Amino acid sequence: MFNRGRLIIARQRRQLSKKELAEKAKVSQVTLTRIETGLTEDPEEATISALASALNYPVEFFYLDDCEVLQTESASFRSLSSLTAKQRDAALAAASLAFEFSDWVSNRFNLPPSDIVDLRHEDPRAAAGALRRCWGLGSKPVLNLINVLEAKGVRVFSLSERNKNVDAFSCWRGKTPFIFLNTFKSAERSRFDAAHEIGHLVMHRHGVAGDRNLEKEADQFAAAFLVPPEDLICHLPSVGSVSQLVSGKKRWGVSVAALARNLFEAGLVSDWHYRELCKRISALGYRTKEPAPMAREGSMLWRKVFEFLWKDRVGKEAVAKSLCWPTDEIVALVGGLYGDTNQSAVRAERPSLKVI
Amino acid sequence: MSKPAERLVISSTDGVELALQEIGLSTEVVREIAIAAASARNDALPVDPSSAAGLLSYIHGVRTVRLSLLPLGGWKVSREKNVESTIHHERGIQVCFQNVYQACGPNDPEAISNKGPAARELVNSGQIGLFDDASSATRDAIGRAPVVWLVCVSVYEGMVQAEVSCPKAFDGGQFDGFSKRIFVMSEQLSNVSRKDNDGDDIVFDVPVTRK
Repeated sequence: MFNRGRLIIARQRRQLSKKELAEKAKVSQVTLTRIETGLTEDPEEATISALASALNYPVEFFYLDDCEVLQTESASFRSLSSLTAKQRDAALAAASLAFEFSDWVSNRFNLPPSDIVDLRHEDPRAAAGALRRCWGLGSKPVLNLINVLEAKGVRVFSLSERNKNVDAFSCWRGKTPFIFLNTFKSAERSRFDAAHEIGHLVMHRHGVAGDRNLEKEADQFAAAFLVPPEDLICHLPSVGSVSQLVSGKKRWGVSVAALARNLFEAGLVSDWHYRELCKRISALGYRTKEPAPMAREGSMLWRKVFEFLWKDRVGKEAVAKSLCWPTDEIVALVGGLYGDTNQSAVRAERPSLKVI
Repeated sequence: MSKPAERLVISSTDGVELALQEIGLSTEVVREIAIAAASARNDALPVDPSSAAGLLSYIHGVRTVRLSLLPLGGWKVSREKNVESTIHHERGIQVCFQNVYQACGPNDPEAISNKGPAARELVNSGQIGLFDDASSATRDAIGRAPVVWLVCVSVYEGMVQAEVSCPKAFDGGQFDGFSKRIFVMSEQLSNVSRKDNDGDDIVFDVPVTRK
């Protein structure tokens, strides 16, 4: 039976309007609207084939069970106002696919269970400290935040949206927390986004999406989680110049601008000095191009999963086929976090040669 | 480093669980104690006294021993002569937490801090039967002194090791042999500070296994 919900998901993933898809598939817009609204329950095979081809999705995808759809209010978008409807829907549709992929993996592998505590009544900075203690982090820097999240049961996916409007978002699916990160941004920014989303997961499980106060709280949480004030005082008690920030930021893996803000919040620079640092950071172009950029964090969980699969000669194409997805959707969800999927897939698909 | 003395070493999974059960512990409880003690080291700051990491580890080790055992019933906090332990009179067992240089190693565990006269007396009274010298607070109703067991934990480069061992006696400030050693855990812990980069980063492992 044709599943119209899946057609909508696929169209949203490709960021196409109905009009654009109809033109691309060479079907009438009325026909497409009737299919999507359910007025045409059983579309002709040729129509489905044309739509599938235009979307670059396998036809089988449209005959599977319903996709779990994430509602806008269930996801914590950081800057909902700057998002276009297309960008928002594409991100939400990515979550639907991520849930399917997560189920596929969970059926085959034992993954870490969630260890996200409920800190909804805590002040953001106190919550950051409490979570650090709970996870045994103390006040030490975290080398790879994605690995920490994965070890604590968060499923981390990438949003390869090729735009900066979608920062990141998080959501709960039953007892499993999910975080989606925009890998189009700098590694430092992506790390801050991840910490920001942890803040939402621990403090705002039942919060209202897009609430400015909640966003501010999540920012405060992220700053304190990545740069514990006591560690900052120990290692960077005084700062005179931006160059000191550039060398100092490596310890905590944050942007120069974020570190300056942390110094101000910790009372290590005056209001005047902070504003001067901000002006200098802007003048040097560090807000758009991070100096001394850190390496992008990778996923250990997806790497391990694909390494196990590769031992069975299963590459990403085979996984995509099993899910009835186009391969690029696997790449979009985990490719930004696990750079070797292309390589392993190529290895998996290449026939082995024998020397006779 | 103490030389290996004549003693029973238990390291098989079933043997460890059984031996721990006999003294009212379990692998899970000991593991929890070891992780708490190891993780607590990360709370130490460079401005703290140089002994902070070990002290925090000790505090959290003792705390977790008690938080794990007290709810089980029969266990009580003992501070007799300033020796922090958790005691079960009916079982005749007294559990102390101890940071050591290396647990589960070929040599007997060696306490990082030397033991004082009260700890020596505690061990001697329970293990050698010097009932006349044992203090009244740790004795049971018929005057027996409890057997002392040590939860020994070591952390080195992210490797956390824990054993539960029964010391025979003391030689100066150190243990002089063990009658039984139960090797409980030897794990590369994910959330324990390692010597990566500046020696100050936290590295996590993500456990993934096939179903």
